[in-house]
Amino acid sequence: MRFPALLLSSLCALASFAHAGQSLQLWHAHQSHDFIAQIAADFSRQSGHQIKVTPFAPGEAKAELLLGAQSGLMPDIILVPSDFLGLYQELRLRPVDNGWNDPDTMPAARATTVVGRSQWGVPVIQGNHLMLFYNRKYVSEPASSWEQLIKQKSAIEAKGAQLIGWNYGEMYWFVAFLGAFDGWPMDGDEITLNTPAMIAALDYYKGLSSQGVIAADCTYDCAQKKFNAGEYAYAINGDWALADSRRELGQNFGVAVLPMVGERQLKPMSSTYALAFPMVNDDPGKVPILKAFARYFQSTERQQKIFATTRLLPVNRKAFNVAKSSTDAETSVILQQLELARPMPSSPLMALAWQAMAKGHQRLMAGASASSAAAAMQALADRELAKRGDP
Amino acid sequence: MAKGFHLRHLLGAALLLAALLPAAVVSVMMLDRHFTTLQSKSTQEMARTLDTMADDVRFKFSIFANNLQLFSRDRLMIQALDSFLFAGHAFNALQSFVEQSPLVSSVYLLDAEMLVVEEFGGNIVALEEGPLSQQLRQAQKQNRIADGRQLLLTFHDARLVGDEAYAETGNGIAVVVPVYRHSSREGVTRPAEGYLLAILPWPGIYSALSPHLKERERLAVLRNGQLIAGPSDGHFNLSDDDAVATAERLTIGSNYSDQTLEYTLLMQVSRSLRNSEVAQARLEVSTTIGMLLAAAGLAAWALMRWLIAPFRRLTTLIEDFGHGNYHSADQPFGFAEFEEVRLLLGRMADTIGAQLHSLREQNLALETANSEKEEYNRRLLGFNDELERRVIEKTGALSESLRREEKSRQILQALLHIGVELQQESDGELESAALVELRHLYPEYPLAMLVKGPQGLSPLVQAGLDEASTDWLGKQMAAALSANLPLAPELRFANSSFQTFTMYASNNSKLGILVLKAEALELGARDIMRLFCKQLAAIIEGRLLNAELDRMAHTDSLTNLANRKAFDEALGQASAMLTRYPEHPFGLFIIDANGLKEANDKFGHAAGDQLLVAIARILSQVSRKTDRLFRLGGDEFAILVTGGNSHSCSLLAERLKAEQGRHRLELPSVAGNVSLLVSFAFGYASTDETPPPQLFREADSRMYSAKQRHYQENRRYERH
Repeated sequence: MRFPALLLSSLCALASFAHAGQSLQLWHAHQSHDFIAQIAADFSRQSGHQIKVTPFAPGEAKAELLLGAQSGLMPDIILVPSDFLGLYQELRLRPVDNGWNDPDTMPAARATTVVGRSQWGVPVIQGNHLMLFYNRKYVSEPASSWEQLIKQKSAIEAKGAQLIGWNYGEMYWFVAFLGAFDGWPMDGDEITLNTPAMIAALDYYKGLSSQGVIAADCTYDCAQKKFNAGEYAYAINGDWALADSRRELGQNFGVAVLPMVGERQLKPMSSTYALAFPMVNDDPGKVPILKAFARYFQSTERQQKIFATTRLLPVNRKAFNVAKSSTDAETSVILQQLELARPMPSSPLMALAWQAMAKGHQRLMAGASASSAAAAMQALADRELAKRGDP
Repeated sequence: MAKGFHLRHLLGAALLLAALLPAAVVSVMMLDRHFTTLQSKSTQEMARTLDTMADDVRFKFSIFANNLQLFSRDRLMIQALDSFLFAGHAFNALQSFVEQSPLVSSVYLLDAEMLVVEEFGGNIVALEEGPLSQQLRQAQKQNRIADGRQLLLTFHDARLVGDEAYAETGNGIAVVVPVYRHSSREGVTRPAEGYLLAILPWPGIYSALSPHLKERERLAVLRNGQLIAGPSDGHFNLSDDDAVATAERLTIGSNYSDQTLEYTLLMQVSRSLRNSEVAQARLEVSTTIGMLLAAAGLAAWALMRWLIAPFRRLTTLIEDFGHGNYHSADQPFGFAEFEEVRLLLGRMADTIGAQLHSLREQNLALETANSEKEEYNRRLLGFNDELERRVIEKTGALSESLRREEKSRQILQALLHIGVELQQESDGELESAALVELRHLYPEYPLAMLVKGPQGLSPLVQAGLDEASTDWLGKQMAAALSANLPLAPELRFANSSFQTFTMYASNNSKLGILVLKAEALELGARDIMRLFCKQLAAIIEGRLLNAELDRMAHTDSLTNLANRKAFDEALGQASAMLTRYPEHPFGLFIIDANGLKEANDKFGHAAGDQLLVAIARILSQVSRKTDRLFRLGGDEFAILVTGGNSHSCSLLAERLKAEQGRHRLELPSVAGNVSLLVSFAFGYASTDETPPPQLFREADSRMYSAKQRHYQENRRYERH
């Protein structure tokens, strides 16, 4: 009796795909393009619906999506960090209900996709947090504090490498230092940038540049291409870059928890990556396909495979438990760092906070004091809020 | 050598003059014209360069102004002004604009309140805090940034220029253009949503002009007489006396602006540098002309050489002909006249050659005869030389022969002398004398000698040897002589060689050995040594034979005791001694064997001889060592007792008596062994009671008395 019932329900489901054999677009800005393309291909093979995957440069993703939304040129699916969901209005996202989630999806992960009273996407991977990468060719024991790291500078430079690289001007990296000084860009729904913690963090962060620990013009290339090419002994980068660095450096690649500032632990942000569904043409026929893709992506089997191939942490509880029970040192560091991380606020204002912080940091590097830079950050955010009509 | 000018020299000089003079005159004229041109060209070139620079700046600025105008209509600018979230896109566009505009260092997107929304390459803090921000706000207030027109401003702010190297000048041009939400038709006034501000730093503009400058040229940009931009090393002196300056007006304007900015481009060239360059150029041109003239001269010289070569060859030909060389004209001349002369000379040469040939043959015959004569003379001289050489050789050989003869004579004399000397030497001095003579003959050789004497080996004698060598040689020689062992002809000791010569007796036994310390001896010396040794051996042998003969003359052959002759001499000597030393008496015993005749008769003479030998032995045993025993003949013996007074003689008599009857002689006979009693009778006398002349008689008389007693007693025993 069970088999005919299953067959019947499958037929019903297939029948519900009124537009069988459709072609869908997926945009993303995740560095591990391969696993996304693989899942899309697997789903296409299984469902008969083509999903075309287009990658974007991470720095331009938000603006590209906003422009696309303004001009009505949006894909059917976007894979974005959960804070993008705060722009659900600008991105014209489709709200989803609980039926889009796999029953085993972790509630905490699901919570990152809820803004206001609605869920604006489905989480598919979590973590997205920064860690300390290092090259064993230059470093036998990774530094546990910035003081230790600075002491290693001359020895590393004597070996022909530079000390450390990260995307210095990008605020996602800065916010880990802000966390060390007990600061945070959001307090509930309020942007809190002009704080003593922010000033202290900006001072410290600028000091790293002026002391020569890191070059102020260091971009993501330092942390990625140049680190993988063996030009840097250390890099700060996220879990999305693990696979690439491991592949390029092989046995020399190592990963560790971010170094401490004295007794203060760096607190990077963690977030989820979520699938979101812009209402491009609001074609209701595509909704079941989108929903099926969301469930497929969150399924225990897919989630385990993602972790196995990329070490990206699953949002599926069963798959996450499998990951936690893993004994390899790298996973242990990833999970250890995740525990020290703070989840990124999914408030729609977070996007403004990022931009305000970036502009303030620009001023800081142009010669402004940390306090005036922090004040500028807050003023910019307030002005933008006022422009939007928010209080 | 004929006097006067050579035709070929005159021809050469004319050629050189014709080739060089016109070229030199033309070159000097061209050089002068070239210098004049250089002077004016330099000034024109500076003006042209400045003109090109000004055009270049105007052109680039014009392109920039057009691009900025287009860029201000970019929708991304409006989106960024609308929402902060689009600033990322605006940033990329601003970056792209700066990278494509060579004169622009930074560009800012300002909102309507002149606050920076986004920028690329600039400094937000410097702009907001600096004077340019004030200028912008003032211009906005005065509505000078309106109607889509561009506003051109000049500023002085090192931080905005962005290069600390230019901090002292820090001048730049700022161009502002309004950004509108909607495109509008011409003439409609509407508020701007924001502004685009482009910064064109003068150091950057100056860098774009620099490639036009030559090394010696220096450029400055002036505005209202003030230096706006200059060389990066800062060396530009507006009142440099050494400089030649050229100025050009530079007006910067835009199609989208009614304003223009006026500047002056001032170019300087060091007067002394330019003069030195002109001098250098003059030197280069002069050198080139000089080289060309030299080349022309060389060409003319080569031509001259080619032309005058036949003259010179003809001269040489005739000179050779004059000197008798008729074969140097085989190569034909290029010129016909010269060729005819050559052929004529050739024919003359043939005639002369035939005559010369005849002469040469005659000369040849004479030379042959002469050379034969010379050869004869040479041989004669050689023969004389050879003869002389042989005479010298023979003379030398004769001298050598005489020298050897003299030496041999000396040696023979020495040997003769040695022979005579040695014959005269007493026993003990023979060896020493021989050694002295040898040393005299061969003083260069240390030597040693050991010979036999009548009493055994004589002491070793040596001359010139060290103690160790002497000891060692003494042992070697003593061993060889004592055991009659062979001795090597050469001995080695302590790294020295010793040549040995053995003296042989006529029975080939060794009589002595002579050793010379020498590595080798020449044959003559060796022969002389052998001869000397033979002579010495003969003398030694004679000496030994004499000693033996003497011994035999004084010894009884049966008992080996001294004989009657010896007794007579000894008694004479003792008597003579007593005469000289009366306090030293001597005694004489006369002993006669009993029963000798009987033994001879009964047992043969051999038994009698044994009896005599037995008695001689008994007498020897009882006598003192100082006493001398004699067999006087037959059965009679005598003992000469040295220091023998009556008492000491009586003591000997007691010892003799004690021996009587103690000895028997076992004699074989047909009836078996017979034991014969050895007995003797004796009598004695001493000089302390009997004068020497009567001594023998007294002693002999007493012996007879004793003998009588013996026979009487024997007969009595026989009767009993």
